[in-house]
Amino acid sequence: MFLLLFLPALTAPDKQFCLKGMRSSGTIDALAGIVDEGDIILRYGNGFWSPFFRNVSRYEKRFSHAGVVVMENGTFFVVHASAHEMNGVGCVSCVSLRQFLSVSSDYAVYRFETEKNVRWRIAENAKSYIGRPFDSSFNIADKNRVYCTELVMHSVNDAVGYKAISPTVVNGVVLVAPDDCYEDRSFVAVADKRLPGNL
Amino acid sequence: MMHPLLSRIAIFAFLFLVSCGDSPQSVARNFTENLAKGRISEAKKYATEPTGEMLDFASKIGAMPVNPDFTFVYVEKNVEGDKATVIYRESVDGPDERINLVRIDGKWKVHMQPTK
Repeated sequence: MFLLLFLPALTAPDKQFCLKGMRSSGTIDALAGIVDEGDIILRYGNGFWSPFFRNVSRYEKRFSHAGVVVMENGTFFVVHASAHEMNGVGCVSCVSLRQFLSVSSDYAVYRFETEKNVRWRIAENAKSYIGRPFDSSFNIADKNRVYCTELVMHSVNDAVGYKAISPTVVNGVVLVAPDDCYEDRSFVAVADKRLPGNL
Repeated sequence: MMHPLLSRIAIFAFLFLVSCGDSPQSVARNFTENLAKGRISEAKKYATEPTGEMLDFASKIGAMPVNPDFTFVYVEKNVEGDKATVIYRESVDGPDERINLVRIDGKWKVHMQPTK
């Protein structure tokens, strides 16, 4: 059932990556050699609302979307919440790393520094949300519908046992900004497009 | 009495304005230009209700980006029944941007739902 939710990988040319410990740029395959289950992957997309979601962040207005890296049958995928621009309908789904990054101009991967089994729980928590409807009303009180950063927050916090990710409050509106997803000092960057080879 | 040439020009101009008045590209232009200049209320006139609500939400939390130098450069449109997509650029050499529209009661409205 889980595999049925996987979407086919796009055939777009590989993006260039600058990865930890690498002096030269590599490919998606190289990124797959860096990431691990439970990592948080963020991107800046090319959608109409991407600049808006980027602006929600308080400290680093850089990313517009986030997901959780999971592994299935030895291959890394990304669990994320998204919807169709035309009808706003969507759900939490699982896509390949290539597909997740195919519509991005910037990205980074953050890892919560803890035991591997805790990171595994982050990934399992994210998988448990697959199929849940996208929350286009951005209501953080309703866990039956989630948006991308909300999915990341629940997956991480429920795994680590405390509020490693806390929402932002802006003019009375409570929402999880992209930079909330890696603000805690336990998060370390393991891949970053802006740091060529020197991360 | 109006000169025949002038009357033809007048008719042509009238038809041109009528045909462009509510076209997907003119609605997309009005929407994006107002949005880029921070005129949310004006932009909402060219948007569906859900998109307008999203604009209000974005405006409320102060996250709506403003670009005073925005220039709408029309590239192409694709109309299929009551749905249309307009491709445009924010500058002559900028990347292609896409905006979706739907026709409601004969009027084109921008319909962009939050996706991520």
